[in-house]
Amino acid sequence: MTAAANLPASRDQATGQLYVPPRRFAADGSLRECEQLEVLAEGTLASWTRYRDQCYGLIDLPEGPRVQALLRDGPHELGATYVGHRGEDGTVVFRCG
Amino acid sequence: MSVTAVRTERWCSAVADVYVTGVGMTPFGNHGPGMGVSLAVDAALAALRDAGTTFAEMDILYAGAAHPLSPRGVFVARELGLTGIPVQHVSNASATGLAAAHEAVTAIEAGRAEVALVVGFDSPETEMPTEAVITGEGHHPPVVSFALWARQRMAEFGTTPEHLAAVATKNWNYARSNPFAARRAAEPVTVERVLGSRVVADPFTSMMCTPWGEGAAAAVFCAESALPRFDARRAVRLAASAFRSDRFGPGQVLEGAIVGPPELTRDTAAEALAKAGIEPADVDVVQVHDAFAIEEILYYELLGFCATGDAEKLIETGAFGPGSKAEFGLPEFSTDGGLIARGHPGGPTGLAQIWETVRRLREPRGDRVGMCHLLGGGSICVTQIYQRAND
Repeated sequence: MTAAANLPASRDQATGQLYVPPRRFAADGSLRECEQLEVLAEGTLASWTRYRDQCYGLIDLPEGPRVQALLRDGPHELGATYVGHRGEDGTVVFRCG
Repeated sequence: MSVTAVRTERWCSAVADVYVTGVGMTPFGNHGPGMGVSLAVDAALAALRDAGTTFAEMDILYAGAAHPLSPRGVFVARELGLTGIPVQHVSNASATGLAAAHEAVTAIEAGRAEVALVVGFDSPETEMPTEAVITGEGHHPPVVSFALWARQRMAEFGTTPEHLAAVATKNWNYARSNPFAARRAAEPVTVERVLGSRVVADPFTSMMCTPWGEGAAAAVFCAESALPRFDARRAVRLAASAFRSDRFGPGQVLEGAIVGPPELTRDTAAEALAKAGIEPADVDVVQVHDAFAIEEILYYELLGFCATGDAEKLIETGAFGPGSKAEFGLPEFSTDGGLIARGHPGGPTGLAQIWETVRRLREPRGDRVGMCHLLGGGSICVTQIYQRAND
């Protein structure tokens, strides 16, 4: 099994707010530059569905950001820990922990 | 005092009254590519005739089209008359029609125009499905985003597929009496039929999802000073138009063609109600962004008509459908079939909502207050409130 992927992210150093995907500036309009970083692609599954043979989900990361994600084929379990792995084409796909 | 309250107060300064004096629309459906100008002209003519006026009387034209391959508004204006007036093209995804109307209202309030024509239309010059436009921008398909909303709501509040089907069934049956609806069922639609239709993205079946489509709709707006030029008895007063975009909040999804966190609809509706000086209990009829059935359920709460978590019980009693005001004290929703059954070309949908609201408010002994609400991906929200002019 490949290691968990990292996701590009950014942090507002004044407030500590983490953004995934990353933002250049803080969301409050102050134009404060954010620190660019990466976070582990691991979180809790908040919702999921299947559309045209592809599963999609919402993943809540530990620091608060919620991300839309591609999931490996189901079934899936809400509230379970999911980890994202990067494929050869660069796409991150999450599967149950 | 919250930021929202401060901003609402700031924007509540006295402005000129604005009225709708004419509305018109074409059928929504699959007209095929290349029909944008023709459909828009047909809708504009219907609105101008309904108002008893001509294009020569217009001071400004706002044209709204959401599909990137629909023609620009100036080509619609050119067919109606080469009169030299400003022609502004407005595009704001699903909310384009109400956004265009908002701009016309702003022009009238600012004294830049007395009479404005607003035309919303969509028919791409070459075939390209709406979903392909959105996924082509790198976003997940819209049905996925809303199915994820639905599954989360089901986990948190016990919403069932039957609740979703009940909303869709109501809207399909309203559309049966709308001659311009894209989906007009020959027989009354049942919950069982909606549940039995093709599964698109769990928990949605095809009859719980908008068919998109093409079409056009239009409205004539005027300042109070121009009202004597029209039949004032048929005019409808715009009591408020509120327009907002996302404010960042915890847990907000920052990617995709999202349609905002709940606060976006809640804040925009609260601002519109405050501007109009009314309460939710005063509203008789509501048109919302019900592209997918879960949305209408959430908007019952976010627009202020019931508490969070109460929507499903109210649906089970038949609230928000025909006779809802008399029986439950709650407004009817999506009375022309909504985006689910009337259809949802992005450009004209807001004008179709205004068309339906004006129709309801013009009926003798009919509704007195109507609300229109749309979200545009990205996200923005427009909420407008209309009242009988003679109230």
